[in-house]
Amino acid sequence: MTSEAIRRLLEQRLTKARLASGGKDQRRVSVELDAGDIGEAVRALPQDGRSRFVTIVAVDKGLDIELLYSFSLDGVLVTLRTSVQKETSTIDTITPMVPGAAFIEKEISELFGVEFAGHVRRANLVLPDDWPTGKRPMRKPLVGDVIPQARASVENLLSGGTSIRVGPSSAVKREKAGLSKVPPLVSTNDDQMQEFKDLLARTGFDKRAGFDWKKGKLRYK
Amino acid sequence: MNKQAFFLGCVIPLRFPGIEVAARRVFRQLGIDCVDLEGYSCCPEPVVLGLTDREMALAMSARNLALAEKAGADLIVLCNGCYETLAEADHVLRHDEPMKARVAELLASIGARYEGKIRIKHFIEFLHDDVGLERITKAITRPVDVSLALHYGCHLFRETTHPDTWRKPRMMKSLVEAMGARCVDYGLEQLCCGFPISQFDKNAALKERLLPKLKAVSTTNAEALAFCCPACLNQFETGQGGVGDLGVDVARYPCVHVLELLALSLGMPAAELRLDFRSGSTKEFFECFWG
Repeated sequence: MTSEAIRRLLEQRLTKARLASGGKDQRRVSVELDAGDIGEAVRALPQDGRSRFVTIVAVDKGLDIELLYSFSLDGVLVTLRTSVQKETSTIDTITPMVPGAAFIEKEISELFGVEFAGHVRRANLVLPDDWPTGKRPMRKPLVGDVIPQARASVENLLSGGTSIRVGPSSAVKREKAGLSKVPPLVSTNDDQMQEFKDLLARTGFDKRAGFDWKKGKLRYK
Repeated sequence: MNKQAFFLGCVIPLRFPGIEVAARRVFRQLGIDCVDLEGYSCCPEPVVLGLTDREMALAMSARNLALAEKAGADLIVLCNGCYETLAEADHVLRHDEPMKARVAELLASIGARYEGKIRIKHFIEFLHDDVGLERITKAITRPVDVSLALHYGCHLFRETTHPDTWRKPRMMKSLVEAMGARCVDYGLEQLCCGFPISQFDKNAALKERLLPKLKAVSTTNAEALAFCCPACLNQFETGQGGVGDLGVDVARYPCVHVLELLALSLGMPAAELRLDFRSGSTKEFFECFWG
Protein backbone atom coordinates (compact mmCIF):
# COMPACT_ATOMS: atom_id res chain seq x y z
CA MET A 1 0.00 0.00 0.00
CA THR A 2 1.20 3.54 -0.63
CA SER A 3 1.24 6.05 2.20
CA GLU A 4 -1.75 7.80 0.64
CA ALA A 5 -3.73 4.56 0.56
CA ILE A 6 -2.82 3.89 4.18
CA ARG A 7 -3.99 7.38 5.13
CA ARG A 8 -7.32 6.88 3.38
CA LEU A 9 -7.80 3.52 5.06
CA LEU A 10 -7.13 4.91 8.52
CA GLU A 11 -9.29 7.96 7.89
CA GLN A 12 -12.19 5.66 7.08
CA ARG A 13 -11.66 3.39 10.07
CA LEU A 14 -10.65 5.94 12.72
CA THR A 15 -13.16 8.77 12.74
CA LYS A 16 -11.80 10.42 15.88
CA ALA A 17 -8.14 10.41 14.92
CA ARG A 18 -6.24 13.31 13.33
CA LEU A 19 -4.07 12.30 10.43
CA ALA A 20 -1.08 14.39 9.54
CA SER A 21 -0.02 14.61 5.97
CA GLY A 22 3.14 12.80 4.99
CA GLY A 23 4.75 16.01 3.89
CA LYS A 24 7.88 15.58 1.83
CA ASP A 25 8.50 12.08 3.14
CA GLN A 26 6.08 9.86 1.26
CA ARG A 27 6.99 6.84 3.36
CA ARG A 28 5.53 8.13 6.66
CA VAL A 29 2.02 8.42 8.00
CA SER A 30 1.35 9.96 11.39
CA VAL A 31 -1.91 9.49 13.29
CA GLU A 32 -2.73 11.48 16.42
CA LEU A 33 -5.31 9.97 18.75
CA ASP A 34 -6.54 9.85 22.31
CA ALA A 35 -4.99 7.26 24.59
CA GLY A 36 -8.31 5.48 24.97
CA ASP A 37 -8.41 4.76 21.22
CA ILE A 38 -5.04 3.01 20.93
CA GLY A 39 -6.56 -0.46 20.74
CA GLU A 40 -8.96 0.57 17.99
CA ALA A 41 -6.11 2.20 16.08
CA VAL A 42 -3.94 -0.94 16.22
CA ARG A 43 -6.90 -3.06 15.04
CA ALA A 44 -7.50 -0.59 12.20
CA LEU A 45 -4.17 -1.55 10.62
CA PRO A 46 -4.30 -4.46 8.16
CA GLN A 47 -4.33 -7.71 10.17
CA ASP A 48 -2.96 -9.94 7.41
CA GLY A 49 0.62 -9.95 8.70
CA ARG A 50 1.84 -6.94 6.73
CA SER A 51 1.64 -4.53 9.69
CA ARG A 52 4.94 -5.21 11.45
CA PHE A 53 5.26 -3.77 14.95
CA VAL A 54 8.53 -1.81 15.29
CA THR A 55 8.60 -0.21 18.75
CA ILE A 56 7.02 2.26 21.12
CA VAL A 57 8.94 5.44 21.92
CA ALA A 58 8.17 7.30 25.15
CA VAL A 59 8.91 11.01 25.43
CA ASP A 60 8.53 12.86 28.72
CA LYS A 61 6.95 16.20 27.75
CA GLY A 62 6.73 17.63 31.25
CA LEU A 63 2.97 17.43 31.78
CA ASP A 64 2.29 14.29 29.77
CA ILE A 65 4.20 11.33 28.47
CA GLU A 66 3.93 11.03 24.73
CA LEU A 67 3.85 7.49 23.33
CA LEU A 68 4.69 6.87 19.67
CA TYR A 69 3.71 3.41 18.43
CA SER A 70 5.51 2.61 15.16
CA PHE A 71 4.46 0.01 12.62
CA SER A 72 6.03 -0.79 9.27
CA LEU A 73 3.39 -1.43 6.60
CA ASP A 74 4.60 -2.17 3.09
CA GLY A 75 7.71 -0.06 3.69
CA VAL A 76 5.73 2.87 5.08
CA LEU A 77 6.33 3.86 8.72
CA VAL A 78 2.95 4.37 10.39
CA THR A 79 3.18 6.16 13.74
CA LEU A 80 0.27 6.23 16.17
CA ARG A 81 0.87 9.19 18.47
CA THR A 82 -0.86 9.56 21.78
CA SER A 83 -0.23 10.95 25.26
CA VAL A 84 -1.05 10.02 28.81
CA GLN A 85 -1.32 12.60 31.56
CA LYS A 86 1.28 12.03 34.24
CA GLU A 87 -1.36 12.19 36.96
CA THR A 88 -2.94 8.96 35.65
CA SER A 89 -0.14 7.53 33.44
CA THR A 90 -2.32 4.65 32.26
CA ILE A 91 -3.02 3.21 28.82
CA ASP A 92 -4.29 -0.21 27.72
CA THR A 93 -1.68 -2.74 26.71
CA ILE A 94 -1.63 -3.73 23.04
CA THR A 95 -0.07 -7.12 23.79
CA PRO A 96 -3.27 -9.13 23.15
CA MET A 97 -3.03 -7.95 19.55
CA VAL A 98 0.74 -7.46 19.38
CA PRO A 99 2.52 -9.90 21.74
CA GLY A 100 5.85 -8.51 20.58
CA ALA A 101 5.07 -5.23 22.35
CA ALA A 102 5.44 -6.90 25.75
CA PHE A 103 9.14 -6.08 26.17
CA ILE A 104 8.97 -2.39 25.25
CA GLU A 105 5.79 -1.77 27.25
CA LYS A 106 7.52 -3.22 30.31
CA GLU A 107 10.63 -1.14 29.70
CA ILE A 108 8.57 2.06 29.37
CA SER A 109 6.59 1.12 32.45
CA GLU A 110 9.75 0.68 34.55
CA LEU A 111 11.62 3.70 33.23
CA PHE A 112 8.76 6.23 32.80
CA GLY A 113 6.11 4.94 35.20
CA VAL A 114 3.40 4.41 32.56
CA GLU A 115 1.03 1.59 33.49
CA PHE A 116 0.00 -0.55 30.54
CA ALA A 117 -3.27 -1.92 31.89
CA GLY A 118 -3.56 -5.64 31.34
CA HIS A 119 0.18 -6.27 30.90
CA VAL A 120 0.87 -9.60 32.57
CA ARG A 121 4.51 -9.31 33.73
CA ARG A 122 4.98 -8.10 37.29
CA ALA A 123 8.70 -8.54 37.97
CA ASN A 124 11.24 -6.01 36.74
CA LEU A 125 12.66 -6.61 33.33
CA VAL A 126 15.27 -3.87 32.80
CA LEU A 127 15.72 -2.44 36.29
CA PRO A 128 17.46 -4.42 39.09
CA ASP A 129 15.16 -6.47 41.32
CA ASP A 130 15.97 -4.28 44.32
CA TRP A 131 15.25 -1.02 42.50
CA PRO A 132 13.13 1.24 44.80
CA THR A 133 9.43 0.90 44.09
CA GLY A 134 7.92 3.92 42.42
CA LYS A 135 11.27 5.42 41.43
CA ARG A 136 11.24 5.91 37.65
CA PRO A 137 14.69 6.90 36.37
CA MET A 138 13.56 8.47 33.08
CA ARG A 139 10.53 10.30 34.46
CA LYS A 140 10.87 14.03 35.09
CA PRO A 141 8.78 15.98 37.62
CA LEU A 142 5.32 17.12 36.57
CA VAL A 143 5.89 20.62 35.20
CA GLY A 144 4.54 22.77 32.36
CA ASP A 145 5.68 25.86 30.47
CA VAL A 146 4.91 28.40 33.18
CA ILE A 147 7.88 29.47 35.30
CA PRO A 148 7.36 29.38 39.07
CA GLN A 149 7.27 33.17 39.32
CA ALA A 150 4.31 33.37 36.92
CA ARG A 151 2.22 30.47 38.20
CA ALA A 152 0.02 32.35 40.66
CA SER A 153 -0.60 35.10 38.10
CA VAL A 154 -1.49 32.57 35.39
CA GLU A 155 -3.94 30.79 37.69
CA ASN A 156 -5.57 34.09 38.65
CA LEU A 157 -5.67 35.17 35.02
CA LEU A 158 -7.25 32.02 33.62
CA SER A 159 -9.75 31.61 36.42
CA GLY A 160 -10.69 35.26 36.97
CA GLY A 161 -9.32 37.47 34.21
CA THR A 162 -6.80 39.39 36.32
CA SER A 163 -3.24 38.63 37.38
CA ILE A 164 -4.09 39.71 40.93
CA ARG A 165 -6.84 37.82 42.70
CA VAL A 166 -10.01 39.78 43.30
CA GLY A 167 -10.56 39.00 46.95
CA PRO A 168 -12.61 40.20 49.93
CA SER A 169 -9.94 42.67 51.09
CA SER A 170 -9.96 44.56 47.80
CA ALA A 171 -13.76 44.73 47.94
CA VAL A 172 -13.61 46.18 51.46
CA LYS A 173 -10.99 48.76 50.44
CA ARG A 174 -13.00 49.80 47.41
CA GLU A 175 -16.23 50.15 49.36
CA LYS A 176 -14.51 52.30 51.98
CA ALA A 177 -13.13 54.44 49.16
CA GLY A 178 -16.64 55.00 47.82
CA LEU A 179 -16.12 52.80 44.77
CA SER A 180 -18.00 49.75 43.52
CA LYS A 181 -16.96 46.56 45.34
CA VAL A 182 -15.41 45.16 42.17
CA PRO A 183 -14.10 47.16 39.20
CA PRO A 184 -15.92 46.52 35.87
CA LEU A 185 -13.83 43.42 35.14
CA VAL A 186 -14.63 40.56 32.82
CA SER A 187 -15.30 38.39 35.88
CA THR A 188 -18.38 40.47 36.75
CA ASN A 189 -20.21 39.16 33.67
CA ASP A 190 -20.66 35.40 33.17
CA ASP A 191 -21.07 35.58 29.39
CA GLN A 192 -18.01 37.76 28.94
CA MET A 193 -16.00 35.55 31.29
CA GLN A 194 -16.91 32.48 29.23
CA GLU A 195 -15.89 34.28 26.03
CA PHE A 196 -12.63 35.26 27.67
CA LYS A 197 -11.94 31.64 28.65
CA ASP A 198 -12.88 30.46 25.15
CA LEU A 199 -10.45 32.96 23.66
CA LEU A 200 -7.60 31.73 25.83
CA ALA A 201 -8.42 28.12 25.06
CA ARG A 202 -8.26 28.88 21.35
CA THR A 203 -4.73 30.16 21.72
CA GLY A 204 -3.87 26.76 23.22
CA PHE A 205 -2.27 28.51 26.16
CA ASP A 206 -4.29 26.51 28.66
CA LYS A 207 -2.82 23.27 27.29
CA ARG A 208 0.72 24.61 27.06
CA ALA A 209 0.46 25.95 30.58
CA GLY A 210 -1.17 22.76 31.87
CA PHE A 211 -4.22 24.51 33.31
CA ASP A 212 -7.03 22.39 34.73
CA TRP A 213 -10.23 24.35 34.05
CA LYS A 214 -12.30 22.24 36.46
CA LYS A 215 -9.99 22.88 39.38
CA GLY A 216 -9.08 26.42 38.30
CA LYS A 217 -5.43 25.62 38.90
CA LEU A 218 -2.32 24.55 37.09
CA ARG A 219 -1.66 20.82 37.16
CA TYR A 220 1.61 21.46 38.98
CA LYS A 221 2.70 23.72 41.83
CA MET B 1 -14.39 62.02 17.78
CA ASN B 2 -14.20 59.18 20.27
CA LYS B 3 -15.14 59.46 23.93
CA GLN B 4 -12.63 58.50 26.63
CA ALA B 5 -12.54 55.37 28.76
CA PHE B 6 -10.29 54.58 31.70
CA PHE B 7 -8.16 51.48 31.50
CA LEU B 8 -7.89 50.85 35.22
CA GLY B 9 -5.67 47.74 35.15
CA CYS B 10 -5.42 45.39 38.15
CA VAL B 11 -3.09 46.99 40.70
CA ILE B 12 -4.76 50.38 41.08
CA PRO B 13 -8.38 49.23 41.56
CA LEU B 14 -7.45 46.20 43.69
CA ARG B 15 -4.48 47.44 45.75
CA PHE B 16 -4.59 51.25 45.58
CA PRO B 17 -8.25 52.26 45.18
CA GLY B 18 -7.36 55.76 46.48
CA ILE B 19 -5.50 56.36 43.22
CA GLU B 20 -8.60 55.36 41.26
CA VAL B 21 -10.64 57.78 43.38
CA ALA B 22 -8.07 60.48 42.62
CA ALA B 23 -8.14 59.71 38.89
CA ARG B 24 -11.91 59.93 38.67
CA ARG B 25 -11.90 63.17 40.66
CA VAL B 26 -9.15 64.75 38.54
CA PHE B 27 -10.75 64.01 35.22
CA ARG B 28 -14.21 65.01 36.41
CA GLN B 29 -12.91 68.28 37.80
CA LEU B 30 -11.06 69.03 34.55
CA GLY B 31 -14.26 68.45 32.62
CA ILE B 32 -13.19 65.20 30.95
CA ASP B 33 -15.99 62.67 30.85
CA CYS B 34 -14.39 59.22 31.20
CA VAL B 35 -16.48 56.08 31.04
CA ASP B 36 -15.52 52.66 32.39
CA LEU B 37 -14.39 49.90 30.05
CA GLU B 38 -16.94 47.25 30.94
CA GLY B 39 -15.68 43.68 30.87
CA TYR B 40 -11.98 44.44 30.64
CA SER B 41 -9.36 41.92 31.74
CA CYS B 42 -5.75 42.09 32.79
CA CYS B 43 -3.81 43.95 30.05
CA PRO B 44 -1.87 41.40 30.53
CA GLU B 45 1.09 42.39 32.72
CA PRO B 46 4.00 42.95 30.32
CA VAL B 47 6.96 41.42 32.12
CA VAL B 48 6.14 38.05 33.63
CA LEU B 49 2.85 37.27 31.86
CA GLY B 50 3.74 39.04 28.63
CA LEU B 51 6.86 36.92 28.28
CA THR B 52 5.13 33.69 29.31
CA ASP B 53 3.17 33.31 26.07
CA ARG B 54 3.19 35.90 23.28
CA GLU B 55 0.08 34.73 21.45
CA MET B 56 -1.97 34.58 24.63
CA ALA B 57 -0.76 38.03 25.68
CA LEU B 58 -1.56 39.60 22.30
CA ALA B 59 -4.98 37.97 22.15
CA MET B 60 -5.85 39.26 25.61
CA SER B 61 -4.62 42.78 24.81
CA ALA B 62 -6.48 42.75 21.50
CA ARG B 63 -9.68 41.79 23.28
CA ASN B 64 -9.32 44.81 25.56
CA LEU B 65 -8.65 47.06 22.56
CA ALA B 66 -11.63 45.58 20.74
CA LEU B 67 -13.87 46.34 23.73
CA ALA B 68 -12.78 49.97 23.69
CA GLU B 69 -13.25 50.25 19.94
CA LYS B 70 -16.74 48.73 20.17
CA ALA B 71 -17.58 51.28 22.87
CA GLY B 72 -16.28 54.07 20.62
CA ALA B 73 -13.73 55.09 23.26
CA ASP B 74 -10.09 56.08 23.25
CA LEU B 75 -8.23 54.61 26.21
CA ILE B 76 -6.69 56.64 29.02
CA VAL B 77 -4.37 54.18 30.72
CA LEU B 78 -3.59 54.71 34.40
CA CYS B 79 -0.71 52.24 34.73
CA ASN B 80 2.70 52.28 33.01
CA GLY B 81 2.71 48.52 32.48
CA CYS B 82 -0.81 48.47 31.02
CA TYR B 83 0.16 51.36 28.75
CA GLU B 84 3.16 49.48 27.38
CA THR B 85 1.17 46.28 26.86
CA LEU B 86 -1.75 47.95 25.08
CA ALA B 87 0.30 50.40 23.02
CA GLU B 88 2.67 47.67 21.87
CA ALA B 89 -0.21 45.33 21.06
CA ASP B 90 -1.82 48.09 19.00
CA HIS B 91 1.50 48.62 17.20
CA VAL B 92 1.91 44.90 16.43
CA LEU B 93 -1.65 44.63 15.18
CA ARG B 94 -1.02 47.53 12.79
CA HIS B 95 2.35 46.36 11.43
CA ASP B 96 2.84 42.60 11.85
CA GLU B 97 0.61 41.08 9.17
CA PRO B 98 0.87 37.40 10.15
CA MET B 99 0.22 38.16 13.83
CA LYS B 100 -2.57 40.55 12.89
CA ALA B 101 -4.25 37.79 10.89
CA ARG B 102 -3.85 35.26 13.67
CA VAL B 103 -5.23 37.64 16.32
CA ALA B 104 -8.11 38.61 14.01
CA GLU B 105 -8.97 34.92 13.70
CA LEU B 106 -8.88 34.49 17.48
CA LEU B 107 -11.05 37.57 18.08
CA ALA B 108 -13.50 36.46 15.42
CA SER B 109 -13.99 33.20 17.32
CA ILE B 110 -15.64 35.25 20.10
CA GLY B 111 -17.40 37.63 17.73
CA ALA B 112 -14.95 40.49 18.28
CA ARG B 113 -12.75 42.53 15.98
CA TYR B 114 -10.18 45.31 16.26
CA GLU B 115 -9.52 47.73 13.42
CA GLY B 116 -7.12 50.16 15.07
CA LYS B 117 -9.56 53.06 15.24
CA ILE B 118 -8.82 54.15 18.81
CA ARG B 119 -5.99 56.00 20.51
CA ILE B 120 -4.19 54.60 23.52
CA LYS B 121 -2.77 57.29 25.76
CA HIS B 122 -0.95 57.22 29.07
CA PHE B 123 -2.79 59.49 31.51
CA ILE B 124 0.36 61.65 31.75
CA GLU B 125 0.35 62.40 28.02
CA PHE B 126 -3.41 62.92 27.94
CA LEU B 127 -3.25 65.46 30.73
CA HIS B 128 -0.21 67.16 29.17
CA ASP B 129 -1.31 67.18 25.52
CA ASP B 130 -5.10 66.94 25.46
CA VAL B 131 -5.95 68.90 28.59
CA GLY B 132 -2.88 71.15 28.64
CA LEU B 133 -0.73 72.50 31.46
CA GLU B 134 -2.33 75.95 31.28
CA ARG B 135 -5.80 74.59 31.93
CA ILE B 136 -4.52 72.39 34.75
CA THR B 137 -2.60 75.23 36.36
CA LYS B 138 -5.71 77.45 36.29
CA ALA B 139 -7.75 74.75 38.01
CA ILE B 140 -5.28 74.27 40.88
CA THR B 141 -6.46 75.79 44.17
CA ARG B 142 -3.92 74.25 46.58
CA PRO B 143 -0.43 74.22 45.05
CA VAL B 144 1.82 71.31 46.02
CA ASP B 145 4.56 73.17 47.88
CA VAL B 146 6.97 70.24 48.34
CA SER B 147 10.27 69.00 46.93
CA LEU B 148 9.86 65.74 45.10
CA ALA B 149 12.18 63.14 43.60
CA LEU B 150 10.48 61.66 40.56
CA HIS B 151 10.60 57.99 39.67
CA TYR B 152 9.31 57.67 36.11
CA GLY B 153 9.23 53.87 35.78
CA CYS B 154 10.73 51.89 32.89
CA HIS B 155 7.53 51.55 30.91
CA LEU B 156 7.00 55.32 30.75
CA PHE B 157 10.01 55.42 28.42
CA ARG B 158 8.33 53.09 25.89
CA GLU B 159 7.41 54.73 22.62
CA THR B 160 5.81 53.14 19.56
CA THR B 161 5.44 56.21 17.37
CA HIS B 162 7.89 58.82 18.71
CA PRO B 163 11.68 58.54 18.56
CA ASP B 164 12.17 60.48 21.82
CA THR B 165 11.91 58.07 24.76
CA TRP B 166 12.12 60.95 27.26
CA ARG B 167 8.92 62.50 25.88
CA LYS B 168 6.53 61.20 28.54
CA PRO B 169 8.97 61.48 31.48
CA ARG B 170 9.42 65.16 30.62
CA MET B 171 5.65 65.51 30.56
CA MET B 172 5.44 63.99 34.05
CA LYS B 173 8.01 66.46 35.33
CA SER B 174 6.19 69.40 33.71
CA LEU B 175 2.90 68.24 35.21
CA VAL B 176 4.36 67.92 38.70
CA GLU B 177 5.96 71.37 38.40
CA ALA B 178 2.68 72.82 37.16
CA MET B 179 1.17 71.72 40.47
CA GLY B 180 3.72 73.89 42.26
CA ALA B 181 6.15 71.18 43.34
CA ARG B 182 9.92 71.38 43.02
CA CYS B 183 11.46 68.39 41.21
CA VAL B 184 14.93 67.55 42.48
CA ASP B 185 17.50 65.85 40.29
CA TYR B 186 19.24 62.83 41.81
CA GLY B 187 20.96 61.30 38.79
CA LEU B 188 19.30 57.86 38.84
CA GLU B 189 15.84 58.84 37.65
CA GLN B 190 15.95 56.30 34.82
CA LEU B 191 16.97 53.33 36.99
CA CYS B 192 14.35 50.61 37.34
CA CYS B 193 12.57 50.16 40.69
CA GLY B 194 13.45 46.46 40.61
CA PHE B 195 9.91 45.08 40.52
CA PRO B 196 10.62 42.50 37.74
CA ILE B 197 13.85 41.40 39.42
CA SER B 198 12.02 41.06 42.75
CA GLN B 199 9.92 38.26 41.23
CA PHE B 200 13.11 36.18 41.04
CA ASP B 201 15.37 37.57 43.76
CA LYS B 202 13.94 40.02 46.28
CA ASN B 203 17.27 40.85 47.89
CA ALA B 204 18.94 41.55 44.54
CA ALA B 205 16.11 43.92 43.63
CA LEU B 206 16.51 45.78 46.90
CA LYS B 207 20.31 45.94 46.81
CA GLU B 208 20.80 46.64 43.09
CA ARG B 209 17.85 48.88 42.33
CA LEU B 210 15.99 50.32 45.31
CA LEU B 211 18.96 51.01 47.54
CA PRO B 212 21.04 52.95 44.96
CA LYS B 213 18.02 55.11 44.20
CA LEU B 214 17.26 55.79 47.85
CA LYS B 215 20.89 56.64 48.50
CA ALA B 216 20.93 59.04 45.55
CA VAL B 217 17.69 60.71 46.64
CA SER B 218 19.02 61.06 50.19
CA THR B 219 21.75 63.41 48.86
CA THR B 220 19.01 65.88 47.86
CA ASN B 221 16.38 67.78 49.82
CA ALA B 222 13.52 65.68 48.45
CA GLU B 223 10.64 65.28 50.91
CA ALA B 224 8.90 62.46 49.06
CA LEU B 225 9.06 60.24 45.99
CA ALA B 226 6.49 60.73 43.22
CA PHE B 227 5.33 58.00 40.85
CA CYS B 228 2.99 57.47 37.93
CA CYS B 229 3.17 53.66 38.04
CA PRO B 230 1.41 51.63 40.74
CA ALA B 231 3.87 48.72 40.52
CA CYS B 232 6.84 51.05 41.06
CA LEU B 233 5.00 52.78 43.90
CA ASN B 234 4.27 49.43 45.53
CA GLN B 235 7.88 48.34 45.08
CA PHE B 236 9.15 51.42 46.90
CA GLU B 237 6.45 51.53 49.55
CA THR B 238 6.95 47.90 50.56
CA GLY B 239 10.61 47.64 49.57
CA GLN B 240 11.83 50.39 51.86
CA GLY B 241 10.96 48.15 54.80
CA GLY B 242 12.95 45.36 53.15
CA VAL B 243 16.01 47.58 52.83
CA GLY B 244 15.77 48.20 56.54
CA ASP B 245 15.70 44.44 57.13
CA LEU B 246 18.97 44.16 55.20
CA GLY B 247 20.53 46.25 57.94
CA VAL B 248 21.19 49.19 55.67
CA ASP B 249 20.67 52.64 57.13
CA VAL B 250 19.16 54.89 54.49
CA ALA B 251 16.45 57.53 54.58
CA ARG B 252 12.91 56.40 53.87
CA TYR B 253 10.46 58.42 51.87
CA PRO B 254 6.72 58.76 51.54
CA CYS B 255 5.53 57.47 48.17
CA VAL B 256 2.90 59.52 46.37
CA HIS B 257 1.16 59.05 43.04
CA VAL B 258 0.94 61.93 40.57
CA LEU B 259 -2.83 61.57 40.40
CA GLU B 260 -3.10 61.79 44.19
CA LEU B 261 -1.05 64.98 44.18
CA LEU B 262 -3.10 66.45 41.36
CA ALA B 263 -6.38 65.59 43.05
CA LEU B 264 -5.24 67.27 46.25
CA SER B 265 -3.98 70.33 44.39
CA LEU B 266 -7.40 70.59 42.73
CA GLY B 267 -8.95 70.80 46.19
CA MET B 268 -9.88 67.22 46.99
CA PRO B 269 -9.81 66.49 50.76
CA ALA B 270 -7.01 64.09 51.71
CA ALA B 271 -9.45 61.88 53.65
CA GLU B 272 -11.12 60.87 50.40
CA LEU B 273 -7.89 59.23 49.23
CA ARG B 274 -8.31 56.51 51.91
CA LEU B 275 -4.71 56.82 53.07
CA ASP B 276 -5.33 54.30 55.83
CA PHE B 277 -4.53 51.70 53.17
CA ARG B 278 -1.07 53.14 52.60
CA SER B 279 2.20 53.02 54.51
CA GLY B 280 2.54 55.03 57.69
CA SER B 281 5.05 57.50 56.27
CA THR B 282 2.91 58.18 53.19
CA LYS B 283 -0.16 58.74 55.34
CA GLU B 284 1.75 61.11 57.64
CA PHE B 285 3.10 63.03 54.64
CA PHE B 286 -0.33 63.64 53.18
CA GLU B 287 -1.81 64.54 56.54
CA CYS B 288 1.07 66.90 57.27
CA PHE B 289 0.60 68.83 54.06
CA TRP B 290 -3.09 68.51 53.42
CA GLY B 291 -4.63 67.82 56.84
